[in-house]
Amino acid sequence: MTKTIDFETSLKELEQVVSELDGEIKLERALSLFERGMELSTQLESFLKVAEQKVEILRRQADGTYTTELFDDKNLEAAGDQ
Amino acid sequence: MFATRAVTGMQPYTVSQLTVLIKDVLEQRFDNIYVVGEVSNAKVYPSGHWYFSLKDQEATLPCVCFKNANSSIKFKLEDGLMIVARGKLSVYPPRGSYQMIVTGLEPVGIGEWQLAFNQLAEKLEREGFFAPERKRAIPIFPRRIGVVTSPVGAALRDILHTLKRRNRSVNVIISPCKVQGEGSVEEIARAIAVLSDMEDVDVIIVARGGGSIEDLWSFNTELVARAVLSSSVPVISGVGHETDVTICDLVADMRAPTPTAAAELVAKGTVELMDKWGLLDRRLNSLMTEKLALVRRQVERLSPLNSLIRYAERLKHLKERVVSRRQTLNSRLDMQFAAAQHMLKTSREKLAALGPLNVLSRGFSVLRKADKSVVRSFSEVKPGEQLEALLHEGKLKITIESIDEKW
Repeated sequence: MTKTIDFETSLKELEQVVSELDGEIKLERALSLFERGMELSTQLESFLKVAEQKVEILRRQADGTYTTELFDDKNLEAAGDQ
Repeated sequence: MFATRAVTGMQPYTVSQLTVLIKDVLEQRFDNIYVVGEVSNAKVYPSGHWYFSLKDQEATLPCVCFKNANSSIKFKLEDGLMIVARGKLSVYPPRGSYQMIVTGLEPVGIGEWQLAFNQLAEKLEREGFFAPERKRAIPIFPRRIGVVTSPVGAALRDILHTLKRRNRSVNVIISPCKVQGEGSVEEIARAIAVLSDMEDVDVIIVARGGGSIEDLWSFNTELVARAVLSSSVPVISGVGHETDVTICDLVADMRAPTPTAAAELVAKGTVELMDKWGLLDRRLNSLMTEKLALVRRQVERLSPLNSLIRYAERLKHLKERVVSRRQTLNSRLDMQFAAAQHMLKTSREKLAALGPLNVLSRGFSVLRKADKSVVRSFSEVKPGEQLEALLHEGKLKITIESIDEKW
C-alpha cells in the first residue's frame, strides 16, 4: 500500500508543479520547478514501468499449506463457460 | 343407538381395527398428492426434520418434512409462506392422528431460488452485510490481484486477457476452486480466505462465467457471503452476466457485471494514473519549452546580447581569416611595427625638443579638442564633449561631465 501512497503523493506534487509552471513566474523559479517536475516524473515512470506481468496459481499441498507456481494459460483458450 | 345396532346386527370395531381401516383408506387414497396452503408453526428440530402445519381459513393439516427430503430445498420454511406441498397422508395409530409426509415444497407466486435468495438477502441485510459504509475502496495501484475462480473457466480467461491488455504491470495470483456443484461453496469460501491471508494481495476478484440460477447458486450462500465479508482486502465480485445479481455481488466491496468488467475495474485505476502521468509529463516539458522561448524573445528584444553574439561571431570569423593569412602577414607586420616604433621615437624626440613635455612631466596636462585645438577656457567646450588630455606619458580620452565657470 505504501507504493500506492508514494505514487499518489508524487502525482499530486507533479500536478502542483505543472500548475505553478503554467502561471506568471520568474525564470529561476520555473527552472527549479522544472527540475523538481522531471524528478517526480521519472519517479512515477519507474512505478509504472515495472517488470512484465506474472501470473501464478495456488496449489494446496497434502499438509494443508499452499505453494505458488507459474500459471500456464495455454489451455484456457478452450475454456468452458464457468 | 344400541337398539339400532341390535336391529342391524352389526359387530363393533375395536379401535385398532377401525384405525387400521382408516389408515388403509387414507394412505391408499392420498398416496401422492399436492396441497396448497399457508405455513404455520414451522419448526426445525435438532434432528434436521421440519415440522409445520399447512392451513387455510377453515382447516389445518399437520405436516412433516424429513431431513433427507428437505436437504435439497434451498429456501427456509417460514410462517406465512404460501406453498404447494407434495407428499402423502400418513396415519399415526397411537394418537389417532394423521399428518402429511412432505417430500417436496414449492413456494407459490415466486420461484424457490428467488425465495431462497430473498430470505438470505433479508437476513444478511439485517446483519449489516450490505451496508454502504462497510464498502472499501478498490486500491488504485494494486501490486498483486487475487482471483478466485475455476482454473479452467472462461471467467479466468477473460480476466487474464483484460489484465494483459489494460495493465501489464500488475501481478495475478489465482486461487482455484470449483464454482458449482458438490463442495463448491466450501471451496470458494476457502479460496477467498487463503488470498485474504496472503500479505501482498491488494484486491480479490471473485468470478464465474454466466449460467442459470442453479449454476450460480454457490455464490448465493451464507458461507461465501461471510468469506467475502471477512476478507482483509477489498473484494470485487464478477459473477455471471449483467442481469445476474448474487449475494456475493451484494456483499462485495464492488460489484462488476461480468468477470471482464471486474478486471477492467481493477486495471482502470492504474490506466487512469498512467494517462494522468503521461499528460503531466508532456505538459511539464511543453510549458518549460514555452517559457524558455518566451525568455529568449525577451532577451533578444531587451538586451544587446544579440548584437554581442553576432559581434563575437564576426570576431571569430575574422580571427580565422587572420590565422590563415598570418604567415604572409607576419613579416609585413613586423616591418610595419618596426617602422611605427621608429616614427614614434622620432616624434617623441621632436615633441621633447618643443618643450611642453617638460611642463607635462611636472603634472600638468594639455586638453585638446577633436580638431586638435588646445582648450584654454571653459567657454570653448560643452558638457558631453570629448576631449583629449595629453600627459607626460600617454594620453587620455575624457568626456566633460559639467562646466563650472569658477574654480
